[in-house]
Amino acid sequence: MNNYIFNHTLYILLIGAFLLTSCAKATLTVRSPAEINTRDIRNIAVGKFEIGQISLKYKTERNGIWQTHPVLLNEAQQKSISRSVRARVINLLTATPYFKVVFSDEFEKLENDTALQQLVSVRGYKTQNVDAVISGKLWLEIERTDGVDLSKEGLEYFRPPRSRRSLGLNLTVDQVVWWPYKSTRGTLGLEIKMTRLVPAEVVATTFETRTYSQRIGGRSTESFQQIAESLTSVLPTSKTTETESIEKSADVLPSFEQIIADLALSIASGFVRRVAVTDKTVSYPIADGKFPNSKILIEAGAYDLAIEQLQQATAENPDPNDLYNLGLCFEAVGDYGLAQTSYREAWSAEPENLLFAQGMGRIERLQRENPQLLRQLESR
Amino acid sequence: MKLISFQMIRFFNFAMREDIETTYIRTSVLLSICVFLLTGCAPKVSFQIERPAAQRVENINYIEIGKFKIVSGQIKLPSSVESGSTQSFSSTDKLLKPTISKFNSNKEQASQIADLLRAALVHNLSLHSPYQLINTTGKETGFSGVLPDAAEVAILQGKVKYFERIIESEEALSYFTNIKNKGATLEQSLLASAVSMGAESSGAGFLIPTPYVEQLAALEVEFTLINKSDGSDVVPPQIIRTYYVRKWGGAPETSHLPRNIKTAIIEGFEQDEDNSESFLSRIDRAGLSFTNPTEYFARGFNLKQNVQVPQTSLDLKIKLGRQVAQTYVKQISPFHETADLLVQDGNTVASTLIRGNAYQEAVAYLQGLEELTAKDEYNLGLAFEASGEIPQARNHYELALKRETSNQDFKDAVKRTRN
Repeated sequence: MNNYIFNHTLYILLIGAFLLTSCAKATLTVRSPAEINTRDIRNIAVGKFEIGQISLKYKTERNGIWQTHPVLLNEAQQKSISRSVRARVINLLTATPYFKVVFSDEFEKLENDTALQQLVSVRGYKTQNVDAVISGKLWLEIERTDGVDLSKEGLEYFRPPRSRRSLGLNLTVDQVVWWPYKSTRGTLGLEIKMTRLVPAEVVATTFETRTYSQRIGGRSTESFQQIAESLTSVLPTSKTTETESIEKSADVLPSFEQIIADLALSIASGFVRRVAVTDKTVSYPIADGKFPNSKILIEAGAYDLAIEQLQQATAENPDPNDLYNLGLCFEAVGDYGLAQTSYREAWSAEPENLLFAQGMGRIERLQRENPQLLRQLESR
Repeated sequence: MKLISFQMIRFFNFAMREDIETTYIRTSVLLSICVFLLTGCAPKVSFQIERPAAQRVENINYIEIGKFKIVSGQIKLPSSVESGSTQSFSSTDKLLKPTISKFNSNKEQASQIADLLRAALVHNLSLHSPYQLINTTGKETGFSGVLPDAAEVAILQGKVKYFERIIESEEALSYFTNIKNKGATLEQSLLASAVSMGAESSGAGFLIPTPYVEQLAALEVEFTLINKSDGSDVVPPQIIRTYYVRKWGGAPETSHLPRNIKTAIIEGFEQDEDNSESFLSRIDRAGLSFTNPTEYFARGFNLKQNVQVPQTSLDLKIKLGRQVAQTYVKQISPFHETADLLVQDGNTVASTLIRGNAYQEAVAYLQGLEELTAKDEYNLGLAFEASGEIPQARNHYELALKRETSNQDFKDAVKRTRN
């Protein structure tokens, strides 16, 4: 009897293990279309980044009395901040394979956006071979605060009993504790606009904002957050570890320049992702097809090889799971038309399979949300 | 998953030692885990649908951004305060001085926000709308290239009221310090802590100035979209308001705003506060820095975020400007969102397609069928609705309701698509 139940448990365990492995989702890197269609634009020049607002402040707080000391910037200093943000954007654009940055200061010299638009519309520019101009406007505010948190803490006093008869001392004494802290917060709002020269048209504008906030010392109420931070700080957070400096340390507040650089880098990456076809990491389920190698190939990201082998396999024996996996590979390389065809073939063999319907749904959604999708991917 | 399998092994080990009866229980536990795994690994379904614009915009292909004028005046309080019980200033409210119960627009503060609002509007229109933008500067001299037919151009302009108050101050909070003996019984220590809490709320104890920052803001924009050729309204003028209140430090229950206004703002306008940051996502982020650094930077994961640091005034303006811009763009342009759909269990193939977000396929499949049941008609309507085609959706919902006149789901669907 005992043995019988024991065997049962073993079976159940086996089933459980099978279920655990069978529904594994794979992390795939798929091509995702640009949100903004930048077809026919290859050579771009970068215009001026206008200043909407730049303000830097120091704040102090002692015994509840707050004082604010603004850092006054003259025009040249403001311009240099704007130029450093512009440099970050250029840096990232030159790194993408889709655009070629034309280095010309003709567009940068223009006073503001209105002047640029006028120049473009009357075609009064001298620089040749430019398809589009990028210009921008920025708003920046950074504060640094030096203050004190206040809280009531229970401090424990403990004295062990000296003899068997004495009870010893074990008291909790409440005390009000002042915890000094330093904090900083930076906000950068950046509007980036891409204007095509012929025909004159605003192709895209994006308005992105990023914030940075850090606090050192003080009483932490977010203990959970701190645990998470200390955990993740063990993992190196970026590839460029060789530039590790004191400014990156968690115990030192970054300088204004550092904050501006980090914020601008983030916004510029966001803009590049918008206008260029990029890779996106997603987690989609892989079907258990008849062709055994395909799963390994897909998980490893060898989509082209998987396509080749799956096409051969499905030509001889059109198994719907293999067809789905073939669609998945086409989706990953950005060939959405063929992906949709493969998903549909898989679905027509098993019309009640939700997995196949979801594959079709993903492509349909992409086409619904990006009507220019097909043309865009063909042109690359 | 690892955790579960670990637990299973533990159960298994125990099972060897325990007697038969408990082994039975353990077997059933294991069985239920298996059932959980079976259901847990079914693909999660979320519906991505397209919604049509709330207002009907006809014959307009181009949008020009006009002037956003700053006006002074009072901004109306949230509608739930205006209409509801205005038991203002009840004695239990812990109000700080100066009390703020009106939001008066101030022209100086509003100069930035009009520009930020314009940027947010242009951003939303550029990404998600079917219109082409021809002038985004907001200045009359802007764009003078080849202009399209004025009858196809709409000018978007508005009147902006903005109120902002950032109060950095201190409040005297009571700290009742106490000595507790650890040897005391449970009742005694409970009593002691109750006494100390009571004393603190009544103001006894040490009164110590405690710093705090409270931010209050309100934005009201009256949008008009007029035809460039004859100046007529393309859609009726819309007034959109949004509010913000938050406090850092000090006592959480005190505020410069009366409680009823504060709760109305928090309930109505601050649902999407960024408190969704989870423990797991941080680990994922660290991983992303290796696999896809562009995405890592683009999503701002290189930037530290600490919720204890108060926002800057620029943050506040951008946040409110964005909210208003998003709300308005939804009025004049179709948008995509995640929604809950109630799929009827009619034809299984069609409902599978809808569950898989393949709405057009579902429409094609259902229309190809010879005969449709009431539930199929409903599902066909649902597929149309999800792809943003409301008139067709309504037709099919009505057909479904004709067949089953008492079905509440059908009634709701017809009602929903009628407006």
